[in-house]
Amino acid sequence: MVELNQAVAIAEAGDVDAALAFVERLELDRYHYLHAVRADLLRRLDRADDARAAYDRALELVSADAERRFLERRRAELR
Amino acid sequence: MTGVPAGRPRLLEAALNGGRPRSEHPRVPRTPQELAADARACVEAGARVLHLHAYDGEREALAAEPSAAALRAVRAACPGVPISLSTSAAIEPDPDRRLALIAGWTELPELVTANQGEEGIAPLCEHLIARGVGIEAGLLSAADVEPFLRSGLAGRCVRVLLEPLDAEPEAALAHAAEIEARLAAGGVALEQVHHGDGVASWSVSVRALARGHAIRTGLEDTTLLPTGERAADNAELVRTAAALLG
Repeated sequence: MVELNQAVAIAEAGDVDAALAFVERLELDRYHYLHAVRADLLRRLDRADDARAAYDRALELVSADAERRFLERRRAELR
Repeated sequence: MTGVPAGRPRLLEAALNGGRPRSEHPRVPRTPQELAADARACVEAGARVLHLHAYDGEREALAAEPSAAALRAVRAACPGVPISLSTSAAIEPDPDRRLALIAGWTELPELVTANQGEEGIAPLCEHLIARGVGIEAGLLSAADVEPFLRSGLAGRCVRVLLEPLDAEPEAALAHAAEIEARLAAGGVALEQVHHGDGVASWSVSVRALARGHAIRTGLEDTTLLPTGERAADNAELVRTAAALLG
């Protein structure tokens, strides 16, 4: 998970493509935060359909209601 | 929810800065003014205890003057809100020097965090308890529980902090469970505040809340929101944690 934190740092430094490539190499398919981070990066790259699919995967995995609401809100904001 | 201790409202602590470098987040507060502004925003967002590390310029400090300056500024901004200062050995590794610095404090916080696995922590806690400062006993791993029980401090602490700092969320959750089990086996019924590090901190928080414990967040603990975005600042992290509390 150092890597997931790192990916966001890469994105914040301005290289969203590199951050996405980084995240997509991580083998954390069962971890909803991975999909949330991926969704956010896709959103920033204007790939709304892919972002929606990533939010969907995160929503399948999330268990806490409040976290679900955050993700649903983000998903609804996609255009 | 099962396991919620009756009559004890769940606490939300804000850990404003810690040793988090500005390179990881530009909005980590350091000066008394920055700390005061963030503290106030966090209290408005739902924080009920403020944990902070005093800074002397670029460096974390335990010395009397920077500690007092941070306390005064935050108290003025948030009257009546308990402040917890760090005593971490990461700031001053030499136990004697650390105790001497803290013995020199001219203004006292309501609370300190005291990591129970550190050399010299028991006399440090005794000193601060004698001066009326509450102890938040930090347990970074299950191995820290044994010296904590042996020290005889448990009955005189305000609460325990369970701090599994693993980057891997499953490891962090397993370690939180292990620390909790050892505390239960040792008969420690103190209030518990749980937190992790980085994005795993949210996993730790969600688990803690489901078990009726309190949580902590802030830029010391994580720069990320559970939605995978970087938090704008401490207040956004606290607002998010407050929403988890429901």
